[in-house]
Amino acid sequence: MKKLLAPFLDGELTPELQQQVRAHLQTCAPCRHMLEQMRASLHLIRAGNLPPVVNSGHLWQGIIRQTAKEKMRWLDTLTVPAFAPQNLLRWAGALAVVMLFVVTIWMHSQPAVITYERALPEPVSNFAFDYGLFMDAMGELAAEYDFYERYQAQVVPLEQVGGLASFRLAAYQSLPSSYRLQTVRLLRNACCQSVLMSYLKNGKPVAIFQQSRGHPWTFGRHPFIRTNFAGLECLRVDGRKFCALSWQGEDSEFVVVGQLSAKEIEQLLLALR
Amino acid sequence: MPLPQTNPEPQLELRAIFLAHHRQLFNIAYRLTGSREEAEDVVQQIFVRLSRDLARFRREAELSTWLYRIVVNSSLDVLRRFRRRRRQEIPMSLIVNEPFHSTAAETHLHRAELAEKLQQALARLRPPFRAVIVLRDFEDMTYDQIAEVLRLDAGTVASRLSRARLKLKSELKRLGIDQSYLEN
Repeated sequence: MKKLLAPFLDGELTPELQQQVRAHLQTCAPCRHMLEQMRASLHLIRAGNLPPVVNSGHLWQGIIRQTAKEKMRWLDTLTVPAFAPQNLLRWAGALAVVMLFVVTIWMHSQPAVITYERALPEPVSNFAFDYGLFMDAMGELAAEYDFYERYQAQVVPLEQVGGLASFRLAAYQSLPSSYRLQTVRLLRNACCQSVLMSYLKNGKPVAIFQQSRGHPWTFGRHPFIRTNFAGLECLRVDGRKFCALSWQGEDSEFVVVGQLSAKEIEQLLLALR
Repeated sequence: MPLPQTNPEPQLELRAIFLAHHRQLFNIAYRLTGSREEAEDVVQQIFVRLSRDLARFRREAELSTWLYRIVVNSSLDVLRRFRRRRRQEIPMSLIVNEPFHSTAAETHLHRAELAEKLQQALARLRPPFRAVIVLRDFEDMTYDQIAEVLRLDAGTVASRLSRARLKLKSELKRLGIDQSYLEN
């Protein structure tokens, strides 16, 4: 019965139930007391129900602001954060990190430059590269001055060589990672050009020359033998402290000179062919 | 009643809904949370959410029920989250906007004091009782509307309302307010 008192007071009961509750109240003092309490409560609410002030304009502006903010938050997921002066320090830090990264990458990508490069005199020969001179230098473990003084040798960045040479550069892409590139040079004489890529393998020097086909060249005073390896006709020099091997590729000729064993130099041919 | 379909600008439609409902929503949120700031936050969040979901309401009745259900649930959530944090509230006597059509300023202040005590008594009710008494006795909703908003059956609404009114009366008495207060 207690739960019917509120709807009875509000007139929300069906006429039959309303009548039943009224009859019950005639005989039940506790229910009558509760009804009076509820009625008093209702009177107090009606008397004191003053609606609070609503600042409608402020409320609406807040809604517009928050709606815009939500849209911006969504847009932020699609766009790069806008530049703001208060973020200057953060941007500067980010820029410094990026620059450091770029410089580090650039330094690692650059071959170590041999610093004794200098202006060279006119070439002695107008028609041939004498690789024998180079082998002399290697054989004595001397610097490679003599050879470079005879020919115009220009140290060039690796990425420029492709544009300067008339053939596809084979060595850089093909060699195993144990060959560490040191320097790239472009050699010129009156009739042709050659690219010299200087490597170190296990701390020992290896030089790979690649030049356009059909131009004469010599091994100087070093005796060579004609040999056939892997279907290629090769010229081979077996020195006391070095080996040299030359062969013709598809669009260029190769001369490899290095402190390598016979087996290592053959593997090099297979990698480069 | 169908919502106006010809309105090409969603913000204008949102504005129309705001004008129709914001006072009642704010009142409910204020009665339930006891804080103007929380009530403003609740109402703003409701309309921000509505701006995203407006298209899904086809009928005004659906929208109203959703609005009142959300305002009650959000306000009760605020209560649960911030039960221990009591904000310094401006006394009701300073913020009521009842126009001064009463015969004397004293009468106004008398009602304002009662309003403040009512708010204090409401704050002492458990949230389910507070919700039902606010919707019925402060906002004049029918039992059926309350049942739909609170997802209760009508019997439960009646039962909770009976208990809520008795509890409110005893809380008012503890605050020194009874029937004789009105006679003064």
